[in-house]
Amino acid sequence: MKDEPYIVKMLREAGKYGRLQSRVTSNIEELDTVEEPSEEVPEKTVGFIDDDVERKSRDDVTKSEGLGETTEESEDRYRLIFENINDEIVYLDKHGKILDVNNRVEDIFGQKREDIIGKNFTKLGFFGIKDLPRMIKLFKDIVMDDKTIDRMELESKHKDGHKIFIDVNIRPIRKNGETEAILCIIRDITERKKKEEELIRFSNAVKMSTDSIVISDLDAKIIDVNEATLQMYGTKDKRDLIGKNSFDLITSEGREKALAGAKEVLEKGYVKGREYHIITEDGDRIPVEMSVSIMKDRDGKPIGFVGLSRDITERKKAEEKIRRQNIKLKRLDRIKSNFLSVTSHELRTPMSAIKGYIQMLLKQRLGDVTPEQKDALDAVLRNTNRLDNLIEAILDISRLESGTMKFLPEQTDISKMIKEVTETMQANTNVKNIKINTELEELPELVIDQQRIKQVLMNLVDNAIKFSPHDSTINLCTKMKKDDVLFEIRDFGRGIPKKTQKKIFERFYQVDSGMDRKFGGVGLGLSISKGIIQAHGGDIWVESTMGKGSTFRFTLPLEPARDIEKKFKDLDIFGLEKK
Amino acid sequence: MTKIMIVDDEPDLREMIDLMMTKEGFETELAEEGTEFLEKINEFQPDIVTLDVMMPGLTTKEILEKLQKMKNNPKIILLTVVRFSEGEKKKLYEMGNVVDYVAKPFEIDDLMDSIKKFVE
Repeated sequence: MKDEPYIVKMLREAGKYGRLQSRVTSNIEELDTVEEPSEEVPEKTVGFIDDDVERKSRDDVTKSEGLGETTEESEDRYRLIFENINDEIVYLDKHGKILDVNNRVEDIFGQKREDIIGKNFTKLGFFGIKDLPRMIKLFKDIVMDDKTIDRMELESKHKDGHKIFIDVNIRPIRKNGETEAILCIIRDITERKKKEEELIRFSNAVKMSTDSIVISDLDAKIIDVNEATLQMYGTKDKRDLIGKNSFDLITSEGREKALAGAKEVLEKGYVKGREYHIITEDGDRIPVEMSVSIMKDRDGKPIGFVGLSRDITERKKAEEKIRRQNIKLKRLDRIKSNFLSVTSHELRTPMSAIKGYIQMLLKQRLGDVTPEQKDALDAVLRNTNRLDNLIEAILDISRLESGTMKFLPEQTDISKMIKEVTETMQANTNVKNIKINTELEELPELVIDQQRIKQVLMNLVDNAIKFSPHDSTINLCTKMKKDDVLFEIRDFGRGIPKKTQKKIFERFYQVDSGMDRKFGGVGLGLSISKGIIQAHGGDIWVESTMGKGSTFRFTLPLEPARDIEKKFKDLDIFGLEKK
Repeated sequence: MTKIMIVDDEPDLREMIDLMMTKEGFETELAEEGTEFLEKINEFQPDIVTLDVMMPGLTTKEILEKLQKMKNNPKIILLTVVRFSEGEKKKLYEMGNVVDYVAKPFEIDDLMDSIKKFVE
C-alpha cells in the first residue's frame, strides 16, 4: 500500500462511508501563511487522517459487499481511475499544501509529480501569476464557507513557459462540518481555447468586414448577414434580410445570371468576382462584385452558401471615367489622323502641280528652254524635291507617332532589293568617289513593306555617304542571325561619340549641328527608320568608334510581324474624303 | 481620239494635267467635283477619268456608286495620297470602273504611263 495516493483513499473512503471523519480542526488563520507561501509548512499538518481510522476502515472494507471484491482490488480500481483520468487531480490540505496529484500534472504543466507533492500550490504557478491573489481568496472561501468553484477558466503556464489554458473545479472535502481537504480537478483546455480564439477571430473578421457577407441555406434563404450587409442594403435590422431569398436582393436583370452562378457553385464549389446590381431597401441599385462559395458540414455535405459582396460603385465610376476618356482619346486620335490625312493631301496637291509644270517645262513640252532657263528649272526642281522630302519626313514621323502609317507587306527578295538600293545610291557617291561594297548571304524571302525598308536602307546609305571621307568605301552586308536577318551598313567616316549613339534615333537630333547643317536634313531620318524597323518587329542600333567610322545594324524577323497589316487595315483606303 | 476627263478641285493641278494631256493629243474635259463630273459625263462620254479622291461634295465611294448606275463606263484612275496594298487594290477594282491609281505627288511620267496603259 505504499505510495497510495491520498485521493485514492479519499475516493475509497468517501465511497464507502460517506463523509470522512476528521480530527483536524479547521484553523483558517493558518491559511494566512498561504499569502507568503513557504516550504517550511510543517510536514505534520499533512497527516490529518488518523492512522487508526485508516486502519479501521481498511479492515471494514476488506470484503466489499456489493462488488464482492477486496479492499485491495477496490483500491487498485480507484488508483487506475486516478491515474488514467484525463484531468489533473490535485488533493490539497486546507492550507494549500499539495498532498497528492496524479500523473497528468506532467502532461499539463510539465512538472514532475514527486517535485510538487508537499509544496504549497501558491508556489507552483498552476493558477497563473495574475490570478493568484484571487485564487488565494477563493481558496479561503472554500475552506471557510464550504464554497465550490465550478469550471473556472484560467490562464496558466507550462514549465517551459508557453501559455496554457485550464478549467478548474474545486471542492472542499468536509468532515464533521469542517473542511478537511480540498479536491481540485484541472482540465487542460488549451486546444479548445485556441479553437475558440480562432472562432472569435473569424467571427470578428466577418463582423468587422467592410464587405457584405451573407450566409444562406441550400434554398438560398438567408440565415445570417454581417454588419456591412445591413449597411449596404440600407437597413439596421437583420430581420429585414433574414428569411428572404438571397436572389431577391439582386436586380431582376441579374437574376438569371445569378441562378446560373448558383448552379456553378454547386458544381465547382465556388464562383468568383461576378458582377451584379443589388437593390437596397430604398430601391437604389448598387453595383457589387460577388463571390459565392458552398458551405459544408463536418461530413462535407453541402448545407448552404456564403456570399461575399463588395460595393464597386467607386470602381465602376472610375471605369466609366476611363471609358469616357478612351472615347475622347479615340476621337482625338481620329481628329489627329484626319488632320494628317488632310495635311498630307493639302501639301501634296500643290507639290504635284509644281513638279508637273517644272517637268513639262524641262521636257520642253511647253516650248524651247534656253540653257540658262534649264539651269534655273533644275534648281527649282532640286529644291522642290528637297521640300517634298521634308514634307514626306514630317508626315512619316506624324504617322508613326499616331500609329497611322500604312504598311504594305509583300514577299521580298532581299538581295534584289539591296542591289536596287545600291544602284540608286551609286549616283550620289560620284562626287566623293565612294564605292559601295555588298556582301550578301543567300537569304529566304521576307514579308516586308519593301518600299519602307528601301527607305530605311537609303537613309542609312545616304548618311554613310554624307559622313564618309573621299575615296573610301561603304560596306553593306546581310546575314542570318538566329531568327532574324541582320543588315549592316558600315562607313569609315568620323564616327559618332558614344554618349550620343542612342540619341541619334531621337527626333530632330543631330550629332553636330554645324556638320549636319552642311549636309542638310532636319534629323528625322533615323527616327523614321527606327519606327519602320520596329513596326516590322525588328531593332536598329549603331556601333561606332570616333575617327574609325560607324556601323548601323538593323534586324528584320523571318516571321513577319503579325500586327503590321492588322494595325493599319482599318484605315479608310480613301483617307478623309470630305474637306 | 481618246477622251480624258480630269476631275480635281485644285484648279492649278487640274489645269496642269489638262495641259499635259492636251499636249499629248488627248481630248479633255474638266470637272471640279463629283456632281459636276456626273452631270458632264453623259455629254462628254470620256474613255478615261483621273479622279481626285479628296474633294468637297460627294465622296469617292458615292461617285463610284452613282457611276455604276449610269450607262457610261469610263476607266477611272484615282489620284490618291496613300499607297494601296494588293488586297486593297483588289477591293478598289471590285468597285467597278477603277483601273489604277497614282499617288500624289506624282511624276508626270507616272501619270502618263498609267493613262497610256488604258488608251485603246
